[in-house]
Amino acid sequence: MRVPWWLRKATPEQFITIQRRVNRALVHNLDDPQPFAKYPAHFQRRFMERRHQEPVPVHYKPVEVPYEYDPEIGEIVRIEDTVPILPMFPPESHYGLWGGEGMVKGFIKRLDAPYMKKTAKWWYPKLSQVTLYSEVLDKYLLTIVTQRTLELIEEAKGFDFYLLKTHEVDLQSRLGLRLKGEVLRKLAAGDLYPDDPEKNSKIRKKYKAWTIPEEEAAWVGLSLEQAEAKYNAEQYAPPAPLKEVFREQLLLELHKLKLEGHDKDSDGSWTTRLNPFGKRAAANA
Amino acid sequence: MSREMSRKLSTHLLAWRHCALLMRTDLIQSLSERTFSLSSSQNTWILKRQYQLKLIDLEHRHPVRRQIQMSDQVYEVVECTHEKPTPPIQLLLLTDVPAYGKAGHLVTVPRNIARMFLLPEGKAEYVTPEGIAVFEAKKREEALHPELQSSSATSLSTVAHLSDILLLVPMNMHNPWKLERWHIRSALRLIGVWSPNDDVIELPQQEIRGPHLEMHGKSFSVFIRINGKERAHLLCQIDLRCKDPADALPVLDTFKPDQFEPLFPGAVSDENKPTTLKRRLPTDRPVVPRHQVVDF
Repeated sequence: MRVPWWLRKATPEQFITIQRRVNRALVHNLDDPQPFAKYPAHFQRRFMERRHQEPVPVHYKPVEVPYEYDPEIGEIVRIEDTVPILPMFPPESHYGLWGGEGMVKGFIKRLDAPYMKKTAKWWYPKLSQVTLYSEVLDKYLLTIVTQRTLELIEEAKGFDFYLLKTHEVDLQSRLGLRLKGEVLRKLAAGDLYPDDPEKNSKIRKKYKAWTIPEEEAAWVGLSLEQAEAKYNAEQYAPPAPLKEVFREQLLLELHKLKLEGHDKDSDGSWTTRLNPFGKRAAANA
Repeated sequence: MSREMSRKLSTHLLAWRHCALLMRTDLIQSLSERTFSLSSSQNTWILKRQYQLKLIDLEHRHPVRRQIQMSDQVYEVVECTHEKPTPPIQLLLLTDVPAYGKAGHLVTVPRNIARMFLLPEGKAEYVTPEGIAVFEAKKREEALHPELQSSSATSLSTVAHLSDILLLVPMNMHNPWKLERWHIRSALRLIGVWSPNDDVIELPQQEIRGPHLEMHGKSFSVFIRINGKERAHLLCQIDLRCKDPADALPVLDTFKPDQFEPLFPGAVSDENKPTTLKRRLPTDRPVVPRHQVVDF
């Protein structure tokens, strides 16, 4: 994702040559030939749906019956309208909730002036800045939305229900995915409103149908990079310090000696004969 | 191509290949389940192709989405309703909101009011079956206690309006007078509020006599009873006037001031006193330094 100007900063990654980047990617994949299969099945399903599923029609009305009566021929003919009109999503759309709306690029052509060329045109969404309240997270969120988002929130009867009911492909924003994951994680953990147990039980009952197990909720809304980082963090177990290992061994040995009855130096070791407080020691002093 | 994309390119390609089978079954299943957000929205650009696409052979077509030409991207606008007014929305009130209704009532309010004030402030809720049950219970409880009900549907909003305005009472600057109810009634008539008779107006206990020049612009409260039930606190200011412009006192502002002087101690009731709300400035927002901004 191209980062907006207010978050951009220079990284050493910029100055690495393309060849080195390719080499690094190839080495990575030689180590791990099937990187996607290692993730849990529910993450794979969600990820592929988000990637390949067709979003609900926003900028066009789909043709319900692909046939039409043609009066010139006097017959019913097929209409070819299988290609949806899809918008473009700029990086700024990932910092707001546009509800599936985006920038549509196309042309306009005047029918009354056939000698004129077609003109390129962008159709932009109308954006507004609003404060949304999430009941589950108990947080107010200042976001940039479209009117369509607000209508969808009202249709779903609440911001949390909008996030939970809407498919990830229809959210069309990294912010929306992250919020969805956070809401699901909060519901799965069940630690909402720690000071108010009555409200806690009320809201958990309200969202009971949308609650999923905690291990699944932990993976919701992650990008492939984030999923990889999470997987690596789970796989990596930090090694125990040698100090602790040796201490364990020593304690075990001492315990063995104690069981065998060798803990006291009763077998006449030469150290037992040493008496630093004897006559000779006093004379030296 | 961005940095992350090029780094993970081959990873993604393998992911595609691996999940081709997985995708096909799940797509059909999920499409049949999806029922949400299929209704058309009123505030988006809805476009249509100006020229029909060429017919293709259904049997021998490519499985991937077909390529489209530039002429297929010539669009005409079907709907563009950015400026269309939004219809009102029905809500369940959780607290008493004077201009809109009482707690537990189903009210129909403008959508912008609901979006900007009632819902974020927690004063109202979307209508749900549980909410309707609460509404019915509230109705039944109110039927048992008629003294708790408001006298009419608009009485509460009238109270809110009267408590909000500032009434200038025009009085003579030279001739002696004593403030009476009909003065208030005619002053109300000047701003377009009609009171049925003088009995609904209740003056302060202490009688007000004039004229004194120091009275000009001093405030006091009167009480107005609506339908013999609700009691509104109305803030008034004495406005001394004369015919000769040479003697005229400064013109008073009809906007409610932040601070006002009472005519006598205790002349202004507590309901009319200005609220001590702190004005929020853009600088009050928490400033997150750039290195602490968390990206996702």
